[in-house]
Amino acid sequence: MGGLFSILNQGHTGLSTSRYQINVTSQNVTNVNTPGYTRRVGIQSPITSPPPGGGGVQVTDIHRYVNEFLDQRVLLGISYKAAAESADSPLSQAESALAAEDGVGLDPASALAELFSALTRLESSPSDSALRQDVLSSAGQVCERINTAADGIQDARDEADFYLRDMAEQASEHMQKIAALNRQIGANPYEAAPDLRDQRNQHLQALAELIDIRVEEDHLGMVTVIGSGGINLVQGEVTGTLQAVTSVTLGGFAEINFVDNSGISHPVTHAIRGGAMGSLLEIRDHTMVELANDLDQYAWDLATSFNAVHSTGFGLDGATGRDLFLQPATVAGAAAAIAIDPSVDGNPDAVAAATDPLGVPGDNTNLHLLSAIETDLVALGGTDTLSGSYGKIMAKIGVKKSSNDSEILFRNDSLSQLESLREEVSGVSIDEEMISLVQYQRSYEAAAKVIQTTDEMLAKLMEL
Amino acid sequence: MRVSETMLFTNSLTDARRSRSLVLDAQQKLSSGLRVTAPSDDTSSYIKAKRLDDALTLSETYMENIARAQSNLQTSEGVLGEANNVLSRVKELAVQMANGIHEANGRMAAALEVQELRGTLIQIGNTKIGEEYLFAGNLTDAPPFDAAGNYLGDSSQRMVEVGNGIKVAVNVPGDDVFNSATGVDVFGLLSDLETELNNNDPDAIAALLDDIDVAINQVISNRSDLGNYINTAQVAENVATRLSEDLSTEKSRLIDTDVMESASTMSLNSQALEASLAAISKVMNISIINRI
Repeated sequence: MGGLFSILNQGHTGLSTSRYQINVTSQNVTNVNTPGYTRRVGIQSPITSPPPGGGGVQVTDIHRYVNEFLDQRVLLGISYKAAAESADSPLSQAESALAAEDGVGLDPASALAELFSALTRLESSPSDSALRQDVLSSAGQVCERINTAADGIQDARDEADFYLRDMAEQASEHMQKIAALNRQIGANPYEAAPDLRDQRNQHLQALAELIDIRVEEDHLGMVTVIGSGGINLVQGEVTGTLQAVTSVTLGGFAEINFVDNSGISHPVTHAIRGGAMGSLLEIRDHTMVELANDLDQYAWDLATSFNAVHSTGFGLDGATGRDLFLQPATVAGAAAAIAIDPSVDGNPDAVAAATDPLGVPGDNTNLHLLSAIETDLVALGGTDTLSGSYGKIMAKIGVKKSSNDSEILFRNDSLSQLESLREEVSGVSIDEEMISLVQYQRSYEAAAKVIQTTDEMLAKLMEL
Repeated sequence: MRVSETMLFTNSLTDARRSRSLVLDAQQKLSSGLRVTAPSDDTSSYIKAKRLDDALTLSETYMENIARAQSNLQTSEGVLGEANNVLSRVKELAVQMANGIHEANGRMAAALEVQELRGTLIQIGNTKIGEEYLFAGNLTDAPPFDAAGNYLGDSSQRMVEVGNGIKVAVNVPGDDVFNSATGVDVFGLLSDLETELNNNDPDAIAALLDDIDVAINQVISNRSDLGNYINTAQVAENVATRLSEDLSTEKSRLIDTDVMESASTMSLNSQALEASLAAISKVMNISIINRI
């Protein structure tokens, strides 16, 4: 049995432990709104070593309430959400470039309908120069709309590329921070660790927004971050950088390289699948490329089918062999290149209304053939009409955009659900903390009482 | 379940936000009147509406073509009515002058009138609307008949689209009316008549009467062709008007806001929003801090 002094000492451990616990509680209370904060509790245990000096209570560890499985799922949820959200802007841009709001703008499809109308109208009076001018203006509109749509798709790709370059830098910063925090945590597993882990978790979440990652923790508390495609982005204290390098093969767009700590560059452009970067790469290198190719094919089919009929007809001046549209050199790039042919541009008389040079000016039979292109299967290798093939392009972007819209809603919902689950484990509850506060206040008072009592006992002893 | 403060706030916020966005969405649909404004709103409806739009644009063009065709056809029909009157007068004169009781100076006066009437007929043959000569076939930029009555146009009949796959003729070629290969050359006939009147030869005049009848029938048959074309154009107009209405209705059904539905969605979600806001304020007032 220890003496009275050892009881005094025990009272002291009670005071300091209660103070420590109130400190932890107040840390929890003040961080109730801190994003990424994980609630803590001091683990206390009795001091069992025999007196003197023994007995009493001590705090042996600070426990963070985390569920690592949930944390991993939250990271994944963040990646999915960021992927869906970052696709929204380029998809909206492409959609509005390809398909105008009803009655507001003009898109290639409505411009083509106007051209067919102008041709049909000219049938009534093939020598009317105002009606001929209408045909040329409508044809010009068709070209302009296709050019604008091609620009819109290119802009969406440029925008994706711009963000990708920026994101590669951001990701590198987070990787560096994670490696630095790994080092600190590894060196100092107890004192500052809860705060450092919270900080590291925030960097992991920020990194997960950019690229999908898997996180593994080792026995020292350091994490290995594995990015999509199995790239070891961070391994303990070792990391590298993601670099966006302008590439000729990608037509001036950036390819992404992972440069490891020994300076060796690994191409990872096609490995990145998730997060905002994965989604932007998909948009830039697949979705938009497909749309641009479809639009090129449309422009090519349109120019080719009109020219085939137009060049056999005769203008008011009796001349023949003129194209209506400047025939693009190749299918690739046709949408950006399509224009009115210089031989008819600004020359309404050149509109080839007649099939018979002797029938000029009243012969309108070539106009009938031109209007008939509307229902002819001239697009997509003779399998569809022009408006049908354009409808497919609109359907493609429409379905992409609307499924991405639902994806955004779904990923937001599922992430808030995951975060709720995580909060259930890791979040601060004021109710609990207030009760803890009262609890430790009482134990503090009790420990003080122990000291007071021992003091009185000692005083009694002195009087003897 | 353990409930943390953040959960409490974010969950209420998420619910309120969702109701708020549904209310906004319904409100936008109501105020714009459109349910579908982009392919992503409802891909198949948008694309169908786009097709209907194209068809509507064409349908309006068909109506314009019909109006122009009607004007050409009715003018042609009207002036051929005049031509018919002129030829009737010619026949009247020829019948009178074939009778032996008339003197030579009577026939000369008639010859003058026939010459006059022939001029009128040539004018009729050279009728134009705007810059276009109606009876010139395709060669609409020049008068189809010269002073001698020679036909300078061609035999083309111009067809104009007035509906999907429906074409209507908008002219009768002048040679068919006045210079038919299978009938008679009207102007040549009138010249012959004038000559015989001047020659004071009743028998020769009588011999021309049959040909004058053929000429009259020639004009009448072309007039009745024009009448048929006018009817076709009229039918096409009815079709186009009907079609435009149907297309507009169908388009509206596809992309316009269902007002009843949006209004009820809006009030439903407004109520949900109010309820969740009320719940938030209740929950936020419950705190242990007030008790200890």
